[in-house]
Amino acid sequence: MSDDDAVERRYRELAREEPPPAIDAAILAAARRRGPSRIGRWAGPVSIAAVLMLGIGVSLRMQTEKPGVESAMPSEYAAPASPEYAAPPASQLDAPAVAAPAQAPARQLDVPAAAAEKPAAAAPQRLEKRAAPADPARQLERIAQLRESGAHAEADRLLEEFRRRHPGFRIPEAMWERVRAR
Amino acid sequence: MLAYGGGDAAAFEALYAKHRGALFRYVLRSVKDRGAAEELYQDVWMRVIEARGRYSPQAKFTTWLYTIAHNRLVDHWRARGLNLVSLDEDEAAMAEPAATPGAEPERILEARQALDRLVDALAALPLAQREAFLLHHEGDLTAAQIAEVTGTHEEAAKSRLRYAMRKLREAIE
Repeated sequence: MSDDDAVERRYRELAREEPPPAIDAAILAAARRRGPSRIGRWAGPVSIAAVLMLGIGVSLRMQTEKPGVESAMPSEYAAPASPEYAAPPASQLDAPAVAAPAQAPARQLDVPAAAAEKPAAAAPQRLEKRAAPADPARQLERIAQLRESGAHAEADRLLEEFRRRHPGFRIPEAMWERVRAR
Repeated sequence: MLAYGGGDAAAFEALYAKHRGALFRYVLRSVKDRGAAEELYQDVWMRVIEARGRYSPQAKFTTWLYTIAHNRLVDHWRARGLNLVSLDEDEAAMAEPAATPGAEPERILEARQALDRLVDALAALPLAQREAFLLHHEGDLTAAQIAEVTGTHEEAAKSRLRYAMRKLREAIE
């Protein structure tokens, strides 16, 4: 028998501890109470729907914010599936981009000319904000904000997800104090 | 686990029965206090239950389970002011012969005394080495899986395991 086998054999003699029955019962009861995961069952369809909604929303934003694209804004902001957004009138698509502020539709006349440049600049920022933050620092900041607002359950969930995605990431001490479980 | 995520409670019971003892001993031997161990152990399973919808079929369940447990232990150690950077400090000291309490040359035949020494030696191991030993001997994880669970490299996991076995061998000889 090798020396390592001897350690293993001794450890097997030693390792007999089991969790108390009360803890077993509590865990099994919790598992039964939770029932099926709605996320698990509907993950596929919900993911597809979420991607479609996000894509349509981004497209709509770009149409309304991009300078020179004079699409007619409907009187009500219709749902993404509205046929009004399916195909803007061809005449408006042909409008010269350089004269955008002066020729803007009635709704956009409310916006000062100087601000007409801002939507284009803002669009990338808004798009960036809507995208899921992949940066670990941003994720930690979000968790810290949840913790500070008292949303501990959500903070716990995101912290666990963070550890799963970034298992080797060393959280700085100052940030750790803000995100750690209470 | 996928079956449990879909609503099969019996699937969870089967998983629990299979892993309960090993996971409990892993947590128990990773903290000083039995009360804390029981609380942490229960917390780990609660997180497994809550995360049932996020389990990825590509991940081996054992690796996933022990990753959750490891991360929970890290939180516990940090809360007690443990400097996680020092987890492997003792590896540098292994270059020289270690003067551990159980290194006397005489051979002790009483099985209980050998077990007592094993218990003491296990408790005296640096955190990272003890964890590697427990993940291997309780969780039945390979060095690659240990590396994945603990967020390190496979070579580091092998090294920790090797040092742990060496110290424990010396303790029971």
